[in-house]
Amino acid sequence: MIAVVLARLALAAGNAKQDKLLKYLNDKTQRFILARLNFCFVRFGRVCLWALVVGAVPAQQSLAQLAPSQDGPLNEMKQIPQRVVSLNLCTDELLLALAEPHQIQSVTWLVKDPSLSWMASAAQAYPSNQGAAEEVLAFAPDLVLAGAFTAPATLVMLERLGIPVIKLNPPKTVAAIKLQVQQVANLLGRADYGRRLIRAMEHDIANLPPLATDASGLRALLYQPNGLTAGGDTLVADIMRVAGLENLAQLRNYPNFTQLPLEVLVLERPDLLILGEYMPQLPSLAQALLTHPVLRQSFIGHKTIVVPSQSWSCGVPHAVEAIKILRHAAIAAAKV
Amino acid sequence: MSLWLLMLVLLLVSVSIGRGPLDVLQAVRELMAGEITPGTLVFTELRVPRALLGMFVGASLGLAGAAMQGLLRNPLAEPGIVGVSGCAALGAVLVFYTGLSGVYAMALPLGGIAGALVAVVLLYLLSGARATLLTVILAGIAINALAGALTALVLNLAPSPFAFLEIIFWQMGSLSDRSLQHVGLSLPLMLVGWGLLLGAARGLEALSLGEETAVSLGVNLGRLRLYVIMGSALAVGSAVAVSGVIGFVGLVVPHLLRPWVDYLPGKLLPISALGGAILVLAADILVRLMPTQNELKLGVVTALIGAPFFLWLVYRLRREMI
Repeated sequence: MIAVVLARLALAAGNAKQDKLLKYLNDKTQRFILARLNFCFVRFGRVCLWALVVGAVPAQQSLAQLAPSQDGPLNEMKQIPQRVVSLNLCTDELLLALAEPHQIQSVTWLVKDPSLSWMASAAQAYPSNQGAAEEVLAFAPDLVLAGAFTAPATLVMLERLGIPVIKLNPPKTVAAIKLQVQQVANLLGRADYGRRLIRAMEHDIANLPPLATDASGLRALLYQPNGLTAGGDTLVADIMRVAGLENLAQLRNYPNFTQLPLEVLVLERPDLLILGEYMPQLPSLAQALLTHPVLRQSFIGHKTIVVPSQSWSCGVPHAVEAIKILRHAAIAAAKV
Repeated sequence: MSLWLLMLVLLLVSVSIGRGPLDVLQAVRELMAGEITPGTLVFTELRVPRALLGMFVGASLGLAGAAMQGLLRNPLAEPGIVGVSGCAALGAVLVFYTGLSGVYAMALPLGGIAGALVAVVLLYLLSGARATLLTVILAGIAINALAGALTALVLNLAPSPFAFLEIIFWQMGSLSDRSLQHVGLSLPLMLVGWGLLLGAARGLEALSLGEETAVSLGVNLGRLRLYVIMGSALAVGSAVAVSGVIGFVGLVVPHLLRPWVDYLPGKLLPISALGGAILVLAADILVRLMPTQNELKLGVVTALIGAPFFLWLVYRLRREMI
């Protein structure tokens, strides 16, 4: 009995962490590892569960349907959805930013955590879900928004039950953010509001404080928990570019997310070290790497900037905040 | 003597290799001139602590292995196999992920030591003073399994989303990107542990002749046990707290060196410390030379060397037991 309780506790904690991680680690290798973990712990468990619940559904069939990606028919909704449930932190933020309050049925529990999302206070008003199909059903949604890494098994289940699911892939550029904002706004019947948000973004970017002419070509390197840095094909890299920084990882042709040994980081001598913190208040070896004494001593004064994960972990209009932080850091670092 | 030389060479190799393009000689020259450059910082804050930790952790494991084998009069006793390292990792994990070590840094090695102490005492109680080969190993398996499961549970319950993947570090061990702070935290406690273990040398020597003989030779058995138990807990606990579990060092090293010291358990102690340092330094050099994308964990290398050795030992002991 105790063993069962402990096992359930461990499983619940594991699930919660996986979702947080999935949101955070969006490179190919990590995706591969986590997809496998996901498969082992979540998918397999859920597939078994349905086999029990649904009875007649053979496990192979549901597995076979997991394979194709479900990029939702963004423009094929017949009417404006009125009961939307979101299953992913980033789609939560989009939904909260764009929808009328009465259109929102439920968001994930992650978006209510202020250390994960800048929309935590706005999210408190809505019931939360942990992404299980049965929870979603209870909200009787007419649209489910999911992220690229939402458990595919859950989505297959929902679609089989006739609930429209739209999977939004995380945008990898600032331009792609605008595109997705407009698409989701159209979908929610809020096209005008979406346009307004995009104009506000463009206005903010156009009115960034200017970089001094000699500050161009300032080489920056991002360092995230576990020593990950971001190569070219990532949203963070594009945010750095828009902020006027040269991404050293891109210059060196590092793959999207590369684990950089500390000594390589120090010897690369970037002009600006960007520390991408993620829940820094929670102790972990991954986070401890960012506070290694060698970094404190190598990047003194304006050579370090901390960007909290809420500012740029999602491709939503709020990413402008990360651009602003980096532009100010670039100006300060150029003066040193 | 030649072992000292070998260790010195490995120390030098250890500080001169790494993933970053560092000119070590230039870094040392700049250091002598009192300059602070990225090169000198990498040298003093990353390369040196790594080499020092490799040496100290290896010495702790080798020494504790030799002493435990002497006390339990069992050639298979080793901190990793009998669960002492596993429990030390559990203790360190508990203080680290609850944030205790963030408030009070010394809590990290102390947590490791507490875990190790629980394991050594448990092992001694479970297997008894007249332990057979089998009871020690069986008790070790049970302790190890429990420690591993509890470590996994704690890491899963830890609030940080990174925690549950970090079990790899705690169960396989690594010395990458450690700092001088880790050396400072663990070394004083390790030194106390070494002192206690080396202080047990004479007693262990007498104990190899049997308990009665040892007592008649004036050895205080209670104190001898206390020395070895406390010494192993201090040395292994603080080592594991900063490097994770690096297995098999305490098994392989004393066995290889026993013929060198005419099978005298007392003389075996200091030379096993030296041998342990050499083995861990060499393994840590190897993981940095391997062309893997992410660095191989240290415990993988020592297990690849140690496990076949363990099998061979079991095979040999089986023949002796029949």
